[in-house]
Amino acid sequence: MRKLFVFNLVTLDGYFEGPNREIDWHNVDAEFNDYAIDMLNSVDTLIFGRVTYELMASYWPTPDAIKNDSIVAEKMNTLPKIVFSRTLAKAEWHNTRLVKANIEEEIKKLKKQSGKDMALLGSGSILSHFARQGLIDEYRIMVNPIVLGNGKPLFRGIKDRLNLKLTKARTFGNGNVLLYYQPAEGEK
Amino acid sequence: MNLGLIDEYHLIVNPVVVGGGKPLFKDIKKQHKLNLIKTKTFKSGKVVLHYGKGPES
Repeated sequence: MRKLFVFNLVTLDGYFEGPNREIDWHNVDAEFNDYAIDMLNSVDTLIFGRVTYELMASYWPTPDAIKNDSIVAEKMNTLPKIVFSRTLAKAEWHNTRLVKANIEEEIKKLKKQSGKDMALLGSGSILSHFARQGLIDEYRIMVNPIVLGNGKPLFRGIKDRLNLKLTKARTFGNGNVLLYYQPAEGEK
Repeated sequence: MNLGLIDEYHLIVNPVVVGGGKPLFKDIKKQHKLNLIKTKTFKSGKVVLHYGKGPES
C-alpha cells in the first residue's frame, strides 16, 4: 500500500507560519530546491486543506513562479491535486479535485490504489485531523534555524499523545534539519 | 535570548507530539535567526541540535 506523508517547514519554536500567516522566514536555497524536486518526483498526488491550497493556487500558476522556480512550478501545476474543504465552491487550479465530505474514506481509498506516494503539504488543521485518525504514514519535518516568537503551531488539536519513531535525519548546508518520523508501533 | 546573552542552544527533540504543554521559547520579542553548529541522532529517536546565536542576535 502506498503511503501518505506530510512535509512541512517549521521554526525551532514549532510554528509553521507566523501570526499573520507569514512564511517569509522559509530558509530555502538550491539544495532545498533539489530536495523539493526529488520529493515531487516521488509522488503522484498532492493533498491540501483549503488555506494552503489557496496560497499555492495563487502563486504557482503565476508568470513569476514559472520564471523563478520553473521546474517546481511545472510539477506543482501539472501533478494531480486534491483539496479538502467544506466551504470552497470550486477548485480551478489545473488538475485539482475538490472533495467536500468523507475525507477519511477518500484517503483510505486512495491509499489502496496503486501508484506513487502522496504528499500532504502545509495545512495545519487538516494535518492534526489526519494525525488523530492515524492516516499519516510519515512525517517529514524540516526545522529551520529560527525562533519566531509567535505564530501558528504545526500540531494543533492533538488530544492524545502521539508517539513517533525517528527513521532518518538529514542536515542541510543552510542549517535546516529534516526529520523523518513514522507513527510508533501500536499507534495505528 | 532577548538580551542576547546565550551563546549556544543545545536542544534535544524527542519523538513525541504531546499536544499541549509549556513552550520552550516564551515572550520572545523579535525573530532570532540561529546558526546550526551540529546535529546528532540517537538510537532512541532523540535528535540533538546545537545552535549558535545568529548575526543579529
